[in-house]
Amino acid sequence: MTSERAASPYPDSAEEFRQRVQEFLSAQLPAGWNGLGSIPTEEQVVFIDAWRATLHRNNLLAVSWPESYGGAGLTPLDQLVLAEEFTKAGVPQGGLNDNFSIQMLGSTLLKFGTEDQKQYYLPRILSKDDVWCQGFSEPEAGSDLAGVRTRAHRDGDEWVIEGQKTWTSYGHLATHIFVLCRTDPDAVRHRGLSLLLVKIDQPGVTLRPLKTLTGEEEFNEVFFDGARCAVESIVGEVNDGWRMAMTLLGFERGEAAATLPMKFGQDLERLVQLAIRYDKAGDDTVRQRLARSAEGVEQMRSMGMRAVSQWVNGHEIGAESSIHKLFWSEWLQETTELAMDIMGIDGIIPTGDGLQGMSFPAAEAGTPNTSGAWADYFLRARAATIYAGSSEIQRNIIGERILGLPKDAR
Amino acid sequence: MFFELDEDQEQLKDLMRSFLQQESPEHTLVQRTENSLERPHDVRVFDRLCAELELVGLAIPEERGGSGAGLVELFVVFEELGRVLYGGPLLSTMLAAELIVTADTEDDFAELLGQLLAGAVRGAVAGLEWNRPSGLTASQDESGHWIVSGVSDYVFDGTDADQVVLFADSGDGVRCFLVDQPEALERSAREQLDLTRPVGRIRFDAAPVTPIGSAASAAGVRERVVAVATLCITAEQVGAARRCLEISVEHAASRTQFGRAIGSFQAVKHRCADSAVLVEAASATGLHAAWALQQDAGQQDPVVRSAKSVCSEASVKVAASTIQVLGGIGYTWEHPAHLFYRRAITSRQTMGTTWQHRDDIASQLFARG
Repeated sequence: MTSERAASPYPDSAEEFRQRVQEFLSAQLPAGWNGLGSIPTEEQVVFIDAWRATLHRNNLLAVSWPESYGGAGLTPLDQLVLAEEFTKAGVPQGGLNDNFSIQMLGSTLLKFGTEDQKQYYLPRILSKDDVWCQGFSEPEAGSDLAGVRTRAHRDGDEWVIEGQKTWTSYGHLATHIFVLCRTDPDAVRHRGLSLLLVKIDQPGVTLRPLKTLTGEEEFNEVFFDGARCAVESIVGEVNDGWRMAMTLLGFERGEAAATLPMKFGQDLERLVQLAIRYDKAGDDTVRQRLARSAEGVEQMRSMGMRAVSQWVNGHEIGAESSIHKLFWSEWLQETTELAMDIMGIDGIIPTGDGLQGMSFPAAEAGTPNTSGAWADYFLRARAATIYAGSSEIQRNIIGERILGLPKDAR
Repeated sequence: MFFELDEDQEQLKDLMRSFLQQESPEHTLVQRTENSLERPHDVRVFDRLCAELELVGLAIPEERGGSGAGLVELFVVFEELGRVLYGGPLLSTMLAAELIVTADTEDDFAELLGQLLAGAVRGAVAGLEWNRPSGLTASQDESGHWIVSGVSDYVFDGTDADQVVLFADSGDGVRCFLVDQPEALERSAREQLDLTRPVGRIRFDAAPVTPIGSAASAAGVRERVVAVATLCITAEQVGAARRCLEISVEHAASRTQFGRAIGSFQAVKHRCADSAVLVEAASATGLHAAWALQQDAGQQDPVVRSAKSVCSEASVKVAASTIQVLGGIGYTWEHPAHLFYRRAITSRQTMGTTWQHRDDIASQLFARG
């Protein structure tokens, strides 16, 4: 029963790739690089553009895609190692929309797209000719996606779309939107939906920015008034959109199990510094709450490693991801609340640079340790238990799909 | 890649689960507790755990007579023992063996070790606490023989252990000892919150003892035994919490009120979901601590600390939640829920309270910053 294991839980092949990624990072990043969060927002936009181009040139945007579609043909574990190293260095894995373009739509097309779709869209995603955003949520259907009302009907060899989407992150930066539409008005709920690939720059599409409670314009409302796409711009079969949407959302979480604990570990380090600066290192209450935050990072790291090894060993991470989502979103709120308590009255007059990490959902390394940044983060954390499935939805999923409890009246 | 149990570890888990279900069934728990407050365990079960499953020596190196398994395997075993609130002298006997193996590099106590591994002799460790003075002092009499005085208040199985090993302050740091005449010690059972595992008080009145190992290594031995003891307790906490969650879910799915299973009400369902999150996070953290400790003994302090704190919180919260989900039934003597709650609270206070661990974690954070 004796088993000798290396200190790394990863196989050697992954550690070799890690070496390569580290060499790439040290060769490509400017001297003294301190993380994306350490440079001002305007410079971040410029940096991200150039960084993405560098990644594309070096074939590191989608390393686990097959080479025939522009990927590097490596394994999902390599992809994960890259994500870890990039997170550690505080650099993004692509542009702001690549989470939607590469991770979500790209991965879904690889699984369910036609050969034509894969050959056409995948390289265009990598070259940034096409930039995607997500058209799922609606004003009347947020957590209840099966209640989507946006309709699409056939007109000759085109689909014609009418309706409204909302909470479309980075929609203003996108050229295309994937839209979950009702294509069979008579079918019940999730049975009559389809997933369509739609150009934004056309007469029937209007975007309107939506200001969030932090004062930022990151979201959009999207109005469809006779917008069109070709009949072949559908992912999967007609009326099979629910399955496509669920697959796509599954890719949303992919590497988060491994990378979020790292980001939160960085946040915790900043919080410790903040407590020292505010002379709270000897405060019993702060010490207890801070230790609890540290335990949370430890718990997320342990759960993340378990999820990752399940994934690498070929098991799908299903409803367990709801446990992670619920855990980290609550951790984030607790921890940013602690920051406010540490700062005391300073927290209500935020000064210094605000939260600069533009990435979703946690700040990048190097984020300034100012009251401005923490107050922003504190407000932003309110969204964490709402987006990507509210905490109530996550608890239902855990209760029903993991514990097997009966469904509630719906 | 690690982080799921491998095939051997899964088999060990299954073996433990079926053995304990048969030999230590949950439905007899309350009755067993009531009938023998002093010895709530079945001696026959202990004998089989030692003789057939060889659990005392599970993580002891093969060259010292053990099975040479790792701390992950130990974690797996104690998680299963925690599920059934096993309260026999396995933990204390195993810790006594661990102390001897770690301290006694010369094999001077090979015979005693062999008896402990076989379960023929039940051991106990006095003066064992996380970062707390042992309460015991050792000195040498005129003839140069070591004697120990003081009181050790919370000794697992301290009342009826056949042999007692201990940590005591020798004036020159901690040392490890074996009590020469355990039968001469003044020992008393303590009335306690946890009805499933006996804790005894032992008074040492210039009790003659024999040193185990060197003075130089004793602090390291103590650290190791404390870490292993803490890890076993956390594993038990995970197992008990997991079982409590199952009890809650079974009840929520079958008990109907207002014409529906109560588990279909979000107030109940979400309570169970929160418990599931606690259990998952605790089990991952505990197992990670076992793995990390096995990889690098130098890391033991921070990882075991976090695990203890996290698993304590989970086991207490989930046990309390079970009583709530069960409603009136959960508050009766007949239902074992209170035994899980009692064990959870007791384990939380043992081997460092959550408050102490968090304060130390904070110190480490600030020292690092």
